Amino acid sequence: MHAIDPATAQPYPTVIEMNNEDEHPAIALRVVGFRESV
Amino acid sequence: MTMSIYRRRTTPASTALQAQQDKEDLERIFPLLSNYIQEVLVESLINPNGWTIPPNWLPPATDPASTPLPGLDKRTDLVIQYRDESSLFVNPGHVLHRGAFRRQTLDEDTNILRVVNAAASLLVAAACQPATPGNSGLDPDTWYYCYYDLTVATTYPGIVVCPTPPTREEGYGPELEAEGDGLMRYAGAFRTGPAGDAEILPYHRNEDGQFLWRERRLGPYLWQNPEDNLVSVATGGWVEVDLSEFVPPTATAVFLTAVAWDNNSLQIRAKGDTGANSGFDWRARDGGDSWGIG
Repeated sequence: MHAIDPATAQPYPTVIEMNNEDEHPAIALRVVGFRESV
Repeated sequence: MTMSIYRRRTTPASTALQAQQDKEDLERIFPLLSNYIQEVLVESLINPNGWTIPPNWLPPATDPASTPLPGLDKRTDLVIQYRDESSLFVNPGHVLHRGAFRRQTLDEDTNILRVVNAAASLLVAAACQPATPGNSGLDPDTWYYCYYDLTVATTYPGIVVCPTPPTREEGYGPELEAEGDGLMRYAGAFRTGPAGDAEILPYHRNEDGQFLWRERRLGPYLWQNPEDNLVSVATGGWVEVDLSEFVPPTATAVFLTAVAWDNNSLQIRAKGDTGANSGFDWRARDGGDSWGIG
């Protein structure tokens, strides 16, 4: 169902990484939803 | 002349193997009546709940008591949806499992979609403790997991709400085995709001397991309120973003939007996914906003 990150013990979809170095830093990053195996 | 056909008695304990022998015997004797024989076999396979199971759903298991039957262990059409802050509803559909086939129909009393009170469905047991001991309602800021309970006496499945997540990665198979005698099936997660109300946060779930938030604060429209932004400053490199408030540990994928302006860009990747061509790179148009879903 998911891969566990050994460093955080969190499944990967619950922890991501982002990189924003632009001159206009305001970015609205939002979670729209997710998918489960049900 | 009147001819009677007697078939072997097929019960959940004898099931597929004898049914297959029945079918082969009868087709050998009456090859021109094979279609009719198929009907006989369909009607002969009755499980304890009284529902008919088509023989082609039964895998050739030689030990039905101990062998998993994945062909029966699935759900069709059944989705648990948000109804209001305290209740969920379930559309008609099926839950299938070896020896237990439950059909979720319209509510018997009202002929409308079946309504489930989440707090009343909360399973409080040793294997499924709420965060607040003795709390009979929903805890705030908590992921809850819904299960179909196939042990109930009703023809339709019971719905159990529990803070304990499922353990099977494939999404199918017995869950909460200490509580449900191996007949609990995972049905999907929902989350409660902050302390003080502990209400179910609105969502919509599709039949393929896709969960979409209905909260406006999670959409792109409030990007002009920086305090609501998940990220509002330059990161100075790759930084970790915890989405666990919006994504349960059962998720296999997450859907994101980002709003930016004037050629601004944002890179996103799964944690630790540092290989070539990994992640996503979003860039806004000059002089305008843009958004994307990855």
